[in-house]
Amino acid sequence: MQTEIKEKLNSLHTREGRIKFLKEIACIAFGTALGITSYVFCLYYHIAIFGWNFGLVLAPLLAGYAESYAAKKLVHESTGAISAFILFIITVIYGFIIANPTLGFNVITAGSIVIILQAAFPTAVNYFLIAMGLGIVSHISGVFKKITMFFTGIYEKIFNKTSKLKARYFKRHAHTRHDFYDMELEMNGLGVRLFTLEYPPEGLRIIERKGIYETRHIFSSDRKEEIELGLQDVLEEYVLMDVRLAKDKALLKLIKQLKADGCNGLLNLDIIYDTVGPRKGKNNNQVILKGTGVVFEENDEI
Amino acid sequence: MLLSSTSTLDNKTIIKYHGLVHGEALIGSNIYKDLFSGVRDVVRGRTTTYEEELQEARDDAIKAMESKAEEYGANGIIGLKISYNNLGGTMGNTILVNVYGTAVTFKDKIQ
Repeated sequence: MQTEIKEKLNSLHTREGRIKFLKEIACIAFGTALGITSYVFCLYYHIAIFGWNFGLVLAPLLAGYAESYAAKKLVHESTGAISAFILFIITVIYGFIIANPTLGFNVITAGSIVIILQAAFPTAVNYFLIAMGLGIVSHISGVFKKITMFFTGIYEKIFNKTSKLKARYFKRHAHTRHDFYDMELEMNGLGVRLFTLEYPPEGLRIIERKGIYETRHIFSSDRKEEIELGLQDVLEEYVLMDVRLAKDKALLKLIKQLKADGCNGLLNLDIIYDTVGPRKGKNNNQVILKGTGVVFEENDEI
Repeated sequence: MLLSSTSTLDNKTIIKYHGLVHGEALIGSNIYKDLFSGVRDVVRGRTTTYEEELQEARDDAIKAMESKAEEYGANGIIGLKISYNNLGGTMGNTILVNVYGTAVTFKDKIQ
């Protein structure tokens, strides 16, 4: 940018340079004049859509186009559509400040501002609208990811192929998933009879009530990889696995406590899941198991 | 499979208590379903989207619990409890449906 300015200033020392500079000024002036004329025309004849004057867009576009056309003919290079920017300032100052000093902010004015900015700064605004706007929508809704996953799924079905990332994922986790189902806790075979009932079951006599027992396990289900790969079914399975593992851990703690106190049963068992707030950006949950520890008279029949 | 939230069964004799059985299911909330639920509220319709999802998840959880009870040879589950818990989650709200009860084998009482 600085180099360009220096070159421009240096060129003014020569006669050819000064003539070229004047031609460029003339092109800008021509564009600006045409833009102002079109804006006045639109204002005079009230060429408007939903109360929004068409000149707000037409004037900067026409100015820029006229200037570029003239520059191409006169100096054989672009002058940067400076008149479009000048018209943008003129139309904004007149249309939004002088003509409408009490103009409220609504959908039409917001839309107008966006379109005017688009006409004045096409590259920057288009980048913002396409890259940032769509990026934000995609990030919040995940809609583009779902579309991509949909087409990936079709591709995989047609060609009977699994994407490399998914294949690698399943290979890595095959044993983990298998092992979990083999090791799932058999909670009723640990020497303590667990009941959700409030009252003692028929045929079982309580010798002693030992009081309330409560254990908990805090867990978090951070499944970033599955989310990124769009493995919805696996994700659900893994979150459930995390939930069940947490419950089993809490249950083991509970049984350990009951056995330590000589209990062989638990009445009115409650299993409560709760959110305990985020930690390091992840959600944490807790599972609480509670009930009344009792000593039953031994009875293998019931 | 007979399901009951009570501790006893009328006109039945419980002959065996098998212990705790449970089932869990998850549903993840979705931005579009949220939006459409809101629309239905405005037009005085029923917000059936979540209701159907929750119903489906509850049925899945009960099926998982019943299948465990069947493995024990039970024909009923008493003291049944159902809870719905919001687990939060990276993608929005994840709701856990948790069902559990005491698996039993019963027979009809002779009058």
